[in-house]
Amino acid sequence: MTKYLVFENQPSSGQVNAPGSREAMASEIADAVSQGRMPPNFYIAHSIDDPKATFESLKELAKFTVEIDDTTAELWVNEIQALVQKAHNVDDAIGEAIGGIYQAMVAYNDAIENSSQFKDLTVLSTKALDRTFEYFEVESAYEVSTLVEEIYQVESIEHHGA
Amino acid sequence: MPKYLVMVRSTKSQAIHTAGSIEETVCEIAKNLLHFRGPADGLMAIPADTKIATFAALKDEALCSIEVTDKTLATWRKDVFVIEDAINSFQSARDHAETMLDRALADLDEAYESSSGFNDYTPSNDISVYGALDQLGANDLEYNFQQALREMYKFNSLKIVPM
Repeated sequence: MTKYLVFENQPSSGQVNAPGSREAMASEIADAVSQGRMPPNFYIAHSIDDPKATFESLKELAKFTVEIDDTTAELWVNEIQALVQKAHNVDDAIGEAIGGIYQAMVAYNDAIENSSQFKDLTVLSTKALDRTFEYFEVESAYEVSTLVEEIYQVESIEHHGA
Repeated sequence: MPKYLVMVRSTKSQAIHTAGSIEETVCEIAKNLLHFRGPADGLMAIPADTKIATFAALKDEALCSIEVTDKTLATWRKDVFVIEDAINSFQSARDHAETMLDRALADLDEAYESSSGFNDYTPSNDISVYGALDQLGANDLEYNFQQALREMYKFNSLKIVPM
């Protein structure tokens, strides 16, 4: 079992984790737990035994720790990556659904408000739309995120400003 | 407020209402409120205070009666199609959202099911696409609008509409 420190990669760092490496995997795992869906190389990971980890720790405190062994690495590649991707697809579908319904709601509300005789009809609440999908989004993403957090013993490190 | 009786135009009848006439608009309103499947010019509107209307009523030919004013005619021409289009667009957006979310959720279910370690969880057991969209409270949009139209035009259904 190897422990990795995951940092936010500075755009000027010029560093990236090698694709397919355990470090890249640790970064993906951290992103899955944070549900941030950050772009590739937003995070950079170093094994805790790597001297770079110590150096990076001094520069900027790590955001997450992630533990990976051969079995969980295989599990990530063979099963969990697909679950994370499918959960992202649900998120994307939610985003598209909200956009389409929101536009249609606004068009309907405008039609009612601009009419001469139908102003008494109830307009649609865009707040209800947000509430509806908030629940859906939380439920679909939560399970995968929790699963990943448990299996890879991900710890989120909170930093308190001076 | 002029009242009209609306009936199915005889297939033998060559006469149709003048374009832009009140009778033509009344037939459009009747088609909408009766959910008449044929074209609006398959219907005929007759002022209720005429002998022909009395005769049609006696022969039990009238499908409905409708009352209009200049104001409600203007509303039909200006507002009703815009609102109906907006309702249809909303329903389409909702249907599209349902299909899309259903598919994405089915894919997520399948990913869990085909995994070796996590196949005891089925996300869709905890999340209902249809239940979620029902919370928007927009199920009665079309019904409420139809009711408003029925009241405005004092629509009175007199006979079951032929299919």
